[in-house]
Amino acid sequence: MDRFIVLPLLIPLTTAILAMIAPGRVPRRWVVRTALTLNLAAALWIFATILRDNTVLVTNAGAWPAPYGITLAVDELSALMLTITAVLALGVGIFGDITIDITRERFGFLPILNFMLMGINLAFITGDIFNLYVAFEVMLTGSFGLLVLGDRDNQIKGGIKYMIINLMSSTIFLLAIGLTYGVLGTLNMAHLAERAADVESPGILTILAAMYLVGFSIKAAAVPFFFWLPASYHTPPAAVTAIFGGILTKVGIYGMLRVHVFIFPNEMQHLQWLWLLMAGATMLVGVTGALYQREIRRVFSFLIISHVGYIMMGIGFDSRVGLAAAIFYMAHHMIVKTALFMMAGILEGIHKAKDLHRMGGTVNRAPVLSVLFFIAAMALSGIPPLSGFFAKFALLSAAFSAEQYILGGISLIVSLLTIIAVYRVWHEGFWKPAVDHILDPFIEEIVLERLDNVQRRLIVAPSVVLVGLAIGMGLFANASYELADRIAGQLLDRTRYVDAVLGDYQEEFEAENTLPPTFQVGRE
Amino acid sequence: MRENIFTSFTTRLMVSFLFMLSLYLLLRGHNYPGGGFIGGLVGASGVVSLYISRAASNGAVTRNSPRIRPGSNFWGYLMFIGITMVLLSGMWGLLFGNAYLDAWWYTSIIPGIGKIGTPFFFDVGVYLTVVAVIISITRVLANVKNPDDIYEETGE
Repeated sequence: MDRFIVLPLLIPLTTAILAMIAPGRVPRRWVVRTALTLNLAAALWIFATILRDNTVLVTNAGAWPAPYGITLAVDELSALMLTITAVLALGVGIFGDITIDITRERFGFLPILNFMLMGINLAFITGDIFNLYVAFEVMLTGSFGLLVLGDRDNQIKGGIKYMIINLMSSTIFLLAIGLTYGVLGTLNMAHLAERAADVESPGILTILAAMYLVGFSIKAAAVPFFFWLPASYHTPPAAVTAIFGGILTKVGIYGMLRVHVFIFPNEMQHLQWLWLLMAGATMLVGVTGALYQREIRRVFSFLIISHVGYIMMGIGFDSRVGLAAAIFYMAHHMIVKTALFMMAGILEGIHKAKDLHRMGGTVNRAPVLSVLFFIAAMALSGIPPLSGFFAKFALLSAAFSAEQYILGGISLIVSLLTIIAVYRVWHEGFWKPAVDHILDPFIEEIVLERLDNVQRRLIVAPSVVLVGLAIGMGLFANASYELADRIAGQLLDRTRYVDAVLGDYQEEFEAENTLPPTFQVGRE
Repeated sequence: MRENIFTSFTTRLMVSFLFMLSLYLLLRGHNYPGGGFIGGLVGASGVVSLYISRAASNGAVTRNSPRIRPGSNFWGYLMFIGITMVLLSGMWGLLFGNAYLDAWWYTSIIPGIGKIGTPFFFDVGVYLTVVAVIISITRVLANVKNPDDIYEETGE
């Protein structure tokens, strides 16, 4: 049954094709909704199988054996990411097909969304580092399409920054892959992990790890490579921002986990100072930007950066506790941030404004939305019974057990500032009395008047589910943390993954020294 | 603007060779350099050179530009057929074989083409998709409906 792990790739691709030729708006919506549900079912099936059998599912495309063919492998981390992505994609799919305007839909919002989803799923499934690059490119192409769809001036402006910086990141990533092949003679992740473990860190691997770090931190929007994110994320419609804010930066984080934790674990000790410095700076810069901004989606864009810093900090401690905390935090952040962006879109639709100063009085007009937003905002800032508190608590305890008191202190200060930034959004957007304002003529808001009652409920429903998940992660924090810890243990252990991918190959070639000549020269 | 007679004559000579070369590359692709992507690129370059030779010198698409039927989405459907072929050619391996895209070959050899199997349909699918994508992009980039519009916009 292992070969069916390609389903998370095939379902979005098929959907994209069907959505391209669907005969009208309503059939297209239902095709996409059905397919995203199927995608979620497939992801849940993969996750359940892996948790039950305690195994790694492997398939080789075209049945070419492991280090030569392209391996697709799903371990616990991949399965978790696949599942969360599937949940978010379903939510944003429903939210998006209702709220997107007719022009954008006619120019292919839903097909592009599904192509991007295919790229994201491929990034999580693949067991080959060059294939990871391909996945990043598919994702980047799709996301660029979504970003500029609609052809507004500010979208193009943001899109160009996004495109150029992300292409630079891809170039660095590709260079690093080429050098990796030159040094280690393979691109299969399991094979790389096996060979890299044998090397007595001759320096070249440190350089490789640093190059990967630059490549991934551009994708993840870490300081000093974060400029593209606040420049572009507030320009497209809310549905696009929601899926971008929830998933895209986290694919960069996934790359870090795969490459730095899984393949080059020994390099972390050389890069740790740089890593932690970047994490601290990212946290501080993100939250400071969020405090300064006045547009609701810009505030949350900057908060993404700040939370990427938290996750990087957890990875940077180079310990199992830190890693588990980082994975927990990542899951929490993906869920809550997507919900917040969707609700921010609805809020902009209610007030016909982007600027927080022009909002207010939402508590009376939309009480359900207000309560949901409040819970999600409190989860984001880390108030006790919710997921954010436990995620931050885990990170903080990891920081103190790693004796990184300065970074722990910074994370506490940033938490406090996050509460201020989020409270400001809550107060300005919801709590304060309604203000009369001139309607912003250029805003791309959701036209709520055009929706009937069912549709109005449907666009809030995804946020309800996601907020429910955030509450659940808080109430069952122990179980969630244990799951994160198990994933971290599996990622650090890496023998199970390697055995599952390379099983036959290892036995066959164990006697020979299979390292290529360049590698041996490099070692001496 | 008038057509350039040298360009259009050379193109007309060249295009048939380009198409034959692209089919040759497509068919030899499985074990030798070539295949759907490269073949598709060569084939598309033939169509693109037809566009260039028949377009006015400012790059606008004119009445002489090759087209299927004004307003039809032919290349879009070709893309659809291509991707669908790619998807389906792997399905056999997924359902009855060892892995997605696992090859399944028809045992006897067909003269002129050689062994036929699912990888052949995969290659053809890629070929069609590449041709359709390149030509769609060219059409979008070259699509200036009325050359006079350019002069009005630039004020020349």
